[in-house]
Amino acid sequence: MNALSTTCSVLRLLALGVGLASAAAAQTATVRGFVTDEADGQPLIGANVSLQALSAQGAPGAVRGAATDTDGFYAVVGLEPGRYALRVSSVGYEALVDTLALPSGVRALDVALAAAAAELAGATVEGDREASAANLDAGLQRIRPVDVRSVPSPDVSGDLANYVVSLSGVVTSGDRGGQLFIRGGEPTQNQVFLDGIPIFQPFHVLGFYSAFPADLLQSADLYAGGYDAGYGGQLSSVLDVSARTGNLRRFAASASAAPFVASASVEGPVVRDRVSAILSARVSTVEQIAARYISDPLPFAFGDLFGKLYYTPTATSRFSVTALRTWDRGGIGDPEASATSEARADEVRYQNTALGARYLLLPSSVPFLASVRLSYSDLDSQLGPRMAATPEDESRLTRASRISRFDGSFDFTYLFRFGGLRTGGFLRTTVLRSALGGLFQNVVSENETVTEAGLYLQPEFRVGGLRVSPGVRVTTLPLQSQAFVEPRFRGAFEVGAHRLSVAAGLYNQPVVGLSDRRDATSVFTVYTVAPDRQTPRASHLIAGYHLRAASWADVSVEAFTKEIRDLSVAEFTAVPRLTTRLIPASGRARGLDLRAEFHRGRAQLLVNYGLSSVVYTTVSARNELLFDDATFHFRPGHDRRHQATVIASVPVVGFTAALRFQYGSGLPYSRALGFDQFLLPDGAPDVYNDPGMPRVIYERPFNALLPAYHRLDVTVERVFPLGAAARLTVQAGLLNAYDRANLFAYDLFTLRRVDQLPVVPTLGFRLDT
Amino acid sequence: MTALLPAARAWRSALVGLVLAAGLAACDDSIDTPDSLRGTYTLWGALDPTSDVQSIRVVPVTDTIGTTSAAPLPVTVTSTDLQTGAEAAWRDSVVTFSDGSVGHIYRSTFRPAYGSRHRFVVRRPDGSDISALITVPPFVEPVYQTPLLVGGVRYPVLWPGAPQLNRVLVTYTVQETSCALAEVTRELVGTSGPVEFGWQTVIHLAEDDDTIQRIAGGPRGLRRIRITAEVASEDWRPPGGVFDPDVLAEPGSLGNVRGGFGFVGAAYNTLADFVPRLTDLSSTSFLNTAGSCP
Repeated sequence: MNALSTTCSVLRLLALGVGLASAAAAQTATVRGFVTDEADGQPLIGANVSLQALSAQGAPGAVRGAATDTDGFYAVVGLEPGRYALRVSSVGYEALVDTLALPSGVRALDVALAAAAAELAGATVEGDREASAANLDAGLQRIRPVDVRSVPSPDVSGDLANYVVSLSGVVTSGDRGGQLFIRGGEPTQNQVFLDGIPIFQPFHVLGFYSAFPADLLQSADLYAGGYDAGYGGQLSSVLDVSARTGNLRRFAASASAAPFVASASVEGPVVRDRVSAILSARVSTVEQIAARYISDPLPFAFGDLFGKLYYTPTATSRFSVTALRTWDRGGIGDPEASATSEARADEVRYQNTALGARYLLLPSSVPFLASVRLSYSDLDSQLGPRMAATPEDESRLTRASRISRFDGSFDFTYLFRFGGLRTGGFLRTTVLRSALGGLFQNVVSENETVTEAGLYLQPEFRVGGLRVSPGVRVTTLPLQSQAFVEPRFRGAFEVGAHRLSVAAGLYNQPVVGLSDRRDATSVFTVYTVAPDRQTPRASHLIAGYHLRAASWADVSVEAFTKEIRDLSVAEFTAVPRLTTRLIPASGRARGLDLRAEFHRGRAQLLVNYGLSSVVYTTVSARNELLFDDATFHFRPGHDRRHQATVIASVPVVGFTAALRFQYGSGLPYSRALGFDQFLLPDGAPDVYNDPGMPRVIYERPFNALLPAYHRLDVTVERVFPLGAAARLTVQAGLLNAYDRANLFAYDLFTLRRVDQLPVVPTLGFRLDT
Repeated sequence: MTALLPAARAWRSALVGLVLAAGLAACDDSIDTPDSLRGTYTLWGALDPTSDVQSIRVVPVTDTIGTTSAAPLPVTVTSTDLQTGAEAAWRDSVVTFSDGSVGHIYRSTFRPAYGSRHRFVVRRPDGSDISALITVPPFVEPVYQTPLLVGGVRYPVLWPGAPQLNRVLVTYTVQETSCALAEVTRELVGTSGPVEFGWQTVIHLAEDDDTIQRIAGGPRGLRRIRITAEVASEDWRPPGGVFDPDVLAEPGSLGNVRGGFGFVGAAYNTLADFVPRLTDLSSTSFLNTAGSCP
């Protein structure tokens, strides 16, 4: 009932907003449109559009402005009719300057910017740096392709995953496994979108790679928490990736090869200036190339296929279709173990399939932006023996989980002089299927369906340097008879070079991922409706300070806390088995991120430090038996207290050298004191015939720390022009340069360790036309 | 910061990081190993005052799972009767189980007295001991209490002085119309517990009636009821009163071994055996076969 009443209130506000916006638009002037790259017609994100009022005598007045969004769209609203000096600028492009006479009403103005001369020569022009690792805005970081490319990577192109894992507050299972923990949240509590399509496991099994190579990236917004009402359904973080559209003016192609991955892409106009397409494919070459000169077993294979069609039917509308297919196969545990040995020889396999369409519309008479999305996304994952003796064994020992989601949503953005109003609604159905053979939670198979419907409202008010954006998201689950009302808030106050920002919100997650995280190798996740209908919920609070110390230096510090309730964690047991019982838990993550970024020409230096603490708490009668206290606090396996990263790149005599150093303090794990055999003492044991079952003798769960993680990666790259229309990029590098034996997995039952990659020399080539 | 940061300075800062990295490279990458439990043992078994041969399994705690070797254990195993002072020597015998694993079963030839107390000691080469104090339960004879007939037939049996009953099995001897006899055995669950003078078991015949008939394959006559109870030492009481494998698997949740793990108790089986009266059975579905069969 409360949810219904809130929904009605939202709709009333929506109607009021439309009315006010229309009335206001009729009396004032509005300029809006798209800013694109003149060379290829692609949208330019973050371009600044400023309008300065000119008096009748031509004297300059107040300046109003706006920045373009991921569609390249901008709007400056609430202007007094009159003459204005227009300036449109973007990093690396020649600014456009003009004079406009604006009558009342809406004026459409699309702008195409030409690349600056220096950019044409292959240099990066220093300019406005709204996007920067050290430019945190209450948990939000905008990531640009150039940031991603600046990090040493085993191949020439770079990948979003390789960049994200360098950020403080992001804990990974290393260069194997593809699991990301963001500010205390677990991997299944993160939400990842590609052009608005949810991608459930976008990170490849080899941790350098994801479904988002830098070449396809237009921008990515990483909310480490405190995200606004436009997002929902997940507890911890949001990574919202926008893929590049294809070239609208000419055909282009690229191909690359490196020891870990080979890729090819092609793009171009299907109908010049109207329709473009881009198609990209990557396939791992780990087993074909890297494994030939690396002594450690590398049982990894993965790939992805991406396509996007972009269509501009009219000057005021855009239509795009995005498709993605990924596949992964990787051994976990001890790579040398056989299926019959005590050591683990499991293999995880997963495939994402995603398809989505988006229609963007600008009505002609009101400062209003509407978009409609439809998408389908599916993740099919299996965990089973790498080498089963028989097909029957394979079937019996393989666990499978599948999540499929159909999603429809609409978003409206109204703009007014002192801010804007974003609102929208969604309807999505998630189908969950699992076949576990009784090997997990004693569940054999399950089929569940969850339908969620809801609305959100996120107005934003700007007065001077103050930006305030309170929001609310209302979600109902009719099949589960549940409803959530989630208030959100984001705000900032900016004075000169200083900015204070704050974000807070409540979050619920009806579909949860269950993993047995008693050790570090657990990469298989079962998706299900929250156990016992106890939907996990979280509250976030983030407060940050950002200082633009100089045009080349950004410094930020941010504190955060996440309180999570109704988590499900595996119950501790001394019996080594995969069947675990779930017990309820609560979690608390707190921390501090410090970042500093310096730029000078094409040289850059980024320094991150993260301090965090994650504590889970379980309350059960069994705890009292085991620990003499019903309440048990522990540090989960992803609680990395200290993290530091240094990323530097610098041009040196025609080459670009880059290095990344990462440090992470040791992760908690349950240290076994020893192993014995357990005979159930429910009567005099039959000592002659009962062999007993293996047992782990623990002191307490998560009672010890694994060794610290640190490594250094270095690369040197050079671009060789091949005539006017092509160029060859050659990159050489050294991963894990000083051959640190960083731990990936530690089998508690055999005490055998599996390390991450040893020192790996790489050599990659890339050809662009 | 008033001056622009030169590129060289940025690069120099990076090099500092590099040097730092090199320094850290010398850091230990090994996993912190716990104080070794090597030389620690887990003991499982029970003294039996009805047997002349006693057997207790000694499991060495190992560094890796499932790796018990058949090699002799470097220990000396003895037990002492704390009342008489008599010491018994125990000898290792290696048993290969059906799953191929091996176990060390220590055996000794003696019969502990009812109510006696013993100290079982595993002595390591350094002279340190792992020990368990064992109390043998007293001899118990069942007392057949008056059957309760209201609300279904119930047979209470008192086991006076019994400190603990572990498993209680009820065997029903049923008779077909052809006079052939058969036995149906069920574990008594939920109606066995401590009372003021010992332990009481209650058989709910009405509740078992249908189950017995189903197992036996049709209507039968009931000729005899036998209760096999394992009388155990007082310390053999699981946490919460329930033998929950998940709880008991936790080291220390039911243990009496000092310096090691496991549980060594004392237990023996004793019987209660009686013939139900025909009048008791008239309200049940059991047939009256007494008249037609010997």
